[in-house]
Amino acid sequence: MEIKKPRPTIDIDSKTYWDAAKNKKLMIQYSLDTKEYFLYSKQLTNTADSKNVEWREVSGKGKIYSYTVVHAPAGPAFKDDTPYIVASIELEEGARIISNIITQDIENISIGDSVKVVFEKQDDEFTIPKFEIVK
Amino acid sequence: MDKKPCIVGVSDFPLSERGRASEGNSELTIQKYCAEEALDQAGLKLSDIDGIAVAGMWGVPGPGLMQPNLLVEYLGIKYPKWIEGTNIGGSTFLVHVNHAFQAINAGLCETVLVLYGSLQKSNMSRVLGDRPALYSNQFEVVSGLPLPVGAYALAAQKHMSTFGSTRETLAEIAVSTRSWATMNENAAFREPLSIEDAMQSKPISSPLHRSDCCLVTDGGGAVIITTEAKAKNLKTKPIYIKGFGECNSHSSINYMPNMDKLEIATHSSKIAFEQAKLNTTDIDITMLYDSFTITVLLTLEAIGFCNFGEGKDFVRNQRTAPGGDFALNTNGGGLSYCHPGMYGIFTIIEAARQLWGVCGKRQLEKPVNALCHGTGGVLSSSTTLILSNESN
Repeated sequence: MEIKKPRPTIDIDSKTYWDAAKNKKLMIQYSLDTKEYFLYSKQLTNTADSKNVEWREVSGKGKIYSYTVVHAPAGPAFKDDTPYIVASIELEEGARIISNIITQDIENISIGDSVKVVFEKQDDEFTIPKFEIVK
Repeated sequence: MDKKPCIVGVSDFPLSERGRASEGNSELTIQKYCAEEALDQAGLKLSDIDGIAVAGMWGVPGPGLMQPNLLVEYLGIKYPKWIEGTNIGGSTFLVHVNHAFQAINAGLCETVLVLYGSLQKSNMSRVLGDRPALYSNQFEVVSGLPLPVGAYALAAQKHMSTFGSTRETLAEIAVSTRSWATMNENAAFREPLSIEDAMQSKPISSPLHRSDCCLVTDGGGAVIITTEAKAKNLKTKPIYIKGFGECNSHSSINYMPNMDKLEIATHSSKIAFEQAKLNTTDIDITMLYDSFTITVLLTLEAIGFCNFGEGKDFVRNQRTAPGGDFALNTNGGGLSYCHPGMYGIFTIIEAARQLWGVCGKRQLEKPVNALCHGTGGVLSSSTTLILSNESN
């Protein structure tokens, strides 16, 4: 029996992100008060008191903030993918996003590498924004 | 100052081979055993308890775990005046002691029992991929980040990139901690470990390997806090609570402000040191939550035992091992003694025992001041507690 990978429990703070991904767009939140971008939680910004927040499309370009090569998978659903990379990406606009880095050269990756978004369709309902290295 | 709160009893649950509780135990029997042991040590009875603090990963699923209700019922504690069930991960029990201090000091209650119990090894309940993709962690769970190890791996990679720490740095911590565990009869892993063994252990989530990760065991513990006035008539010498601090910043590792600096530990320890009127050089024994080797490295730097980035030099040449000049995690830590899921209470238990001078082969020479530090979640919460066997 195929073991399914986890799907996000989509809520009002993530719906636009996941919906936009289906249309090959990367959208995150933006505070008109502090002019800062963020996705979901406000901790990396100074927007705690900001109520003027909207969704904006962003470039999808950024750098690797940190990463890990996973050898012990997050459950059986990810076993066939090992070793795979999970990274925290710092977007040009400032926000951080966690996703996978898609590369054939898993040993040759460093913090600070430039990356750009690619959209990996899982099925008609679900697409994950992932990243690839920009040479 | 006769209300001054102090620790008067501690206990940890005896584990058999590889960190298991003997068959037939429940989380409740584990905690009952620990409560009775700690009470006996102090010369107290359960009927003396008028405040209770408990947290864990056990309980009746559904409407909420409500652990304080079940434990008060099961142990037969009559009408506690103060109840604490905060859960901020493995750092929780230091917060329970901090809050018990405040409650006793304010006269809200007199004698508090802090309890923890876990059967996570026997129940095989710990896996890397069981967390739902919910709230802020939905992005990392969908990406297959193994939790919690993958989160700590991201911090370790960032620290190495920024400061030039290496896998050897982390191996120093794993090896020194194991050396302490060889002198703790209740430790799950007592075979000596070499730097080479650690370097060659299996990769889990780079740069972390097996030897960088805490154990998965059963276990439990208890800590009893009461007033100095009451402590005068008890069997143990009081351990004074000199200072404490707490702070938190995130739930998903992606929102840790700087993954190479555990700033919340800087905040919590600063508050604790100021309250205690002590500084790092006054500390004789340091008990840092070692969920992973990187946790120790980040915490040493953040508390100020060395500057940011100097941890790699600080731990070099087994400085924190038995016989070294910095006594760290003398019970063998979560890396080699036990790690039932929320290890924080064991930092307090070992510190109290060292300050009482009852640690046998691993006993330090007349320690006076101890620093305990808890880290919960994925470097999410920090709690610091400074203890002393001297009242002033």
